[in-house]
Amino acid sequence: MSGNKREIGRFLERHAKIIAPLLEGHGIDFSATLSPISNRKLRTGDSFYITLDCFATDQLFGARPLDEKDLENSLKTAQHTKSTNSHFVMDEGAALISLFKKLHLFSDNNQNEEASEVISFGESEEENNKRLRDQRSEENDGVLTMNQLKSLYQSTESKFEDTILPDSIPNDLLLELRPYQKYGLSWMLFREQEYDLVGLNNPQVTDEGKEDFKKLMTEISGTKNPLWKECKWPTLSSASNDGFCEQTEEPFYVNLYTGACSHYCPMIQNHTYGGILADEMGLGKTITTLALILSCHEDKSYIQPCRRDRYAHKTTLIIVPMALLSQWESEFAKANGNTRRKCYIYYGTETLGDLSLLLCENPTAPTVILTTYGTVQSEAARITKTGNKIGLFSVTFFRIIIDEGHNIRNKSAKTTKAIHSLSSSRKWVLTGTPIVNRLDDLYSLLVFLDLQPWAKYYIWRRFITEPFDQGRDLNDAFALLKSILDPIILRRTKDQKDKDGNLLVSLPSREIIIERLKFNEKEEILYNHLKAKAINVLTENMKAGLVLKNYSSILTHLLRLRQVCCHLDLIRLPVTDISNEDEDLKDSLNMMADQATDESFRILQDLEKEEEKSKLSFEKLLAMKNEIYQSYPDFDDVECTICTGPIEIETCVITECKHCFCLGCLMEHFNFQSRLHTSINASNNLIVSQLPEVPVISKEVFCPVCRQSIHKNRLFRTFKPEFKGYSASKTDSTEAYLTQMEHTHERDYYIRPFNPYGKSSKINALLSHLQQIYEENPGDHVIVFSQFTSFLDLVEKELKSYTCNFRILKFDGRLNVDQRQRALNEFNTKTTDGRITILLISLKAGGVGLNLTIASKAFLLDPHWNNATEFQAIDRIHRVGQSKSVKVVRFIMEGSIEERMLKIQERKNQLGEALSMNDEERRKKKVEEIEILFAE
Amino acid sequence: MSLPKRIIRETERLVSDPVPGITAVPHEDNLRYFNVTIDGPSGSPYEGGKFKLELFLPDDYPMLAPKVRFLTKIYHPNIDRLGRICLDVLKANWSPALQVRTILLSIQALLSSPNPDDPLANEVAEEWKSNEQNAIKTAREWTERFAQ
Repeated sequence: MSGNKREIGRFLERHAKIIAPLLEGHGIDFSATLSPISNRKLRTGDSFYITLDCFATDQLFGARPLDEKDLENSLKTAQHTKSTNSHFVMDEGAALISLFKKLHLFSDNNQNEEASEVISFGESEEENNKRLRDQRSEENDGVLTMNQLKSLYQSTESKFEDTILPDSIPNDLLLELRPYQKYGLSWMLFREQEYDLVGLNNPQVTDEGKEDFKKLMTEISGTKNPLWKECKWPTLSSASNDGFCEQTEEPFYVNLYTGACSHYCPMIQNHTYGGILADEMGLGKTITTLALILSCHEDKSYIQPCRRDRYAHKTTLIIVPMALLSQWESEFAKANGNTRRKCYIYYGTETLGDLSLLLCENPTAPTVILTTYGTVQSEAARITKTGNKIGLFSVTFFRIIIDEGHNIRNKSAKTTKAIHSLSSSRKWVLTGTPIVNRLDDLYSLLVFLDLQPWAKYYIWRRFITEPFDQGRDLNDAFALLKSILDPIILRRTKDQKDKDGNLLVSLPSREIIIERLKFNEKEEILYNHLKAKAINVLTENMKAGLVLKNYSSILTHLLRLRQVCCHLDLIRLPVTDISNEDEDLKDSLNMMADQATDESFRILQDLEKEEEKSKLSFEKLLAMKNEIYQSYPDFDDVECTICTGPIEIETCVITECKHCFCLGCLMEHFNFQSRLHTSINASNNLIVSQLPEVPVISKEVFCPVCRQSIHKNRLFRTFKPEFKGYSASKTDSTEAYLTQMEHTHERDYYIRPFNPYGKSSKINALLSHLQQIYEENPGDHVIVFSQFTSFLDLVEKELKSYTCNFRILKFDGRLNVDQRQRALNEFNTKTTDGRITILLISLKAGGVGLNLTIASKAFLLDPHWNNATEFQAIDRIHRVGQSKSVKVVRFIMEGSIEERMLKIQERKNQLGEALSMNDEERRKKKVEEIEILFAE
Repeated sequence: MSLPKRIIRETERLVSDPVPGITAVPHEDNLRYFNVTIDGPSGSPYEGGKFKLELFLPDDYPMLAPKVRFLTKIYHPNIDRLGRICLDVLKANWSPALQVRTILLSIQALLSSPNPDDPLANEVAEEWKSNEQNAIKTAREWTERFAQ
């Protein structure tokens, strides 16, 4: 320490480290006052106090550019300092920060500590890590939970409630917008900086008003630079206040990496035109978006259209999932009130080539081009091959909108990359679920929007992913995330209220029922067999610690179990057929597990042989039929002795002893009797793995009326003669033959042998529901979801052969666009003859986007791993436009893997897992889930 | 749980078309629970008596038989001190084709023809077999004492 060119003493080393570099620079002036400890004269070697006043000079607040580049540069500096920094020399910036820390200038209390985490000069790496660990263990509840995600959503929801963006009322839109949609339109126009258009046609908005909110909105649309911390000036001590420095309450800001200081709050302004419209499903994102397109259909600032620019300045490209293509087209046609605005579908054969001819310099260029994610991806793939910029990639669009934008959440997926490389001046993401699984889902959307600097992965990682993954600086990261999202995202939910306190959307009530079904004997035998197999495989793998390695093989087993829950015939199909429907298995197919399938197939065959044996012989059948026809000339006044109600021809079964019952009543009798037997013989059936080679399904059951022994395989069913929906397959050749013969008789019914195990328990349950709907609400519309298209095929067949009162339509991934549209169109027409219309939809193809509000009843035949997927499906009918209360039935096989799946769904809801887990934890979770599935 | 149509139909018929000598009235707050009276059949030692019973239809009815019990004390080889009844159609021979009406008729018939070979009240059955006269006398006395 030198003063007056004379050395009078030394600072402690840790203080000197801070002060030395600052003396070199010009940012801080020092003035030192010496105060001796005692009154006696100082001698060499004595200690004394030095009061050191530090004054910040104007040079400290040098004019540094405060833009997004600052973030990158700072990070680089930080990297640099980390590697070169020795324990003894600090650069000026670092010293400054240490000084501020010592003086407790950072305004927040705990900021000191956090700051020391961010920069690790002083302390050794080791020490620092230890500190981190300690802190982490304290902050165990710091992981981002579902609740935090919700609050994140909520904060973005409420953000714009108080701001005074006026409603806009577009010209060319034929549809009436709801108030919140008008607001949404204004917000979108604002995001596109079309300030003149905000408040469009709204008589209450003056130009002055426009200016005001423009200012307001611009203020809140930036993000505070996360590298900068707020500091407060200390109160001046009277001793040092000698008049040449100012006292101020204003805070100032310090960059924690470079030590740069600023009087102004450093903001990162985003220059993105566009954003994320994340309104909850059913609030009309499509309509709002179409209103935006029709309000602002071209880039007005672009003056001289020129082909060479390749700027499609009049065209908005909308990318949608294939299933929604025709829906968007028809929505556009409905909304568009200006015949000059055209919509062009770019899909299938109508693709490739140079689009600039069509789109640039063409006064009649289409306003909207609709295409699918698949089209974009396949074009991108072709471009990589040929190197020519063709098709969608040949021009820069005015605007790109991606519907169901979470489709591109995986940043390394081919489709995502293709979408990212499309160019346009404005970009929008429409999605009801901006975060599907993890925070990085958002990242990919930000890349699409080109929201700098966050769209740079190392920056995103550093400030968002890492803090959340490691659970440190959570509050900061959370606040930052919120401030990034706030300006660019608009999200409203159905249960949000408008300023008058009314719900944004009042939907009719919704009832979701879980209906637990019992396996029939045949299904149960097969299920138990497959379950025993699966458990064996799992225990072996558990022992060997190979669960994750053989994950796909285990998944195959699980898949088989899920199939048996739906329909036995599904296991006849090779796993490859099925796996196309199951995402989890697509990539990692394991044929090993199919050995088990072969075995179950053999069991199934044995069961069927046994069944065949117990059936009546052909001659006996003929004789029986004649006897029955004689005993019952008609069915008037025939009563079921079980329910004491009259018997319908459609639902009547006749026993060998020629007594009539309702099908349902007699089956209940059978089931009840066999349950009684099972509970008596329970001890024999305890060990599943010791199943008899050819299990016997039937126990003796007696006719309720005459107590003769009756058998499920020897019953008859009656049909109305006019019903011809039944198409005889090869196995029914004798039945078809018998039926033919009887048509010569004049009778109001005919009979056929009954096949008790022909349908799966689920199809039976579905049938009885549908029959009831037909009776109570003829002409109604119903939708039926399953994940297995092959199951839907079976359902279709069974429903068609059951009665002609059902009009059955199917919608799955195998249909092309035209076929899809046709199916939907037909579904939306009403029948005139009271038939009920049933749409069979594969969960994957039709679970999102579709609007099926003509139906108010839905059945979910099988559970999905992810609860949200099921709810999305339910929202096809429970959405704006639905006038009736909605009833949904979810079928679950009792005591089966499906019940376990429900448990896992619950677990997922509770954990909000995906947000906070790293790979290791995720793996652990997978194993745990498997254990839940097989837990006894 | 809603009441199955069958129970409603049966109850209606029991009221509109009652069996002679038998009444069955459902409880107001539990329509599966019936208050039953059976008149002692003429020619039996129970003649002149009015026997009270309770009858309950379990959830699994009609797959499962109704539960019936005498509330009035009765001297009968097939009915024990607690009023429990030994009757095949209430146990193994139950069939869903049977009804409350038919069950009550069977019980009435049981009063006419006691079956001491398949006893529930062993002492009563012994008496019935060894000294029928005396047994019938006791039955009559009980009827006068308890079933009026």
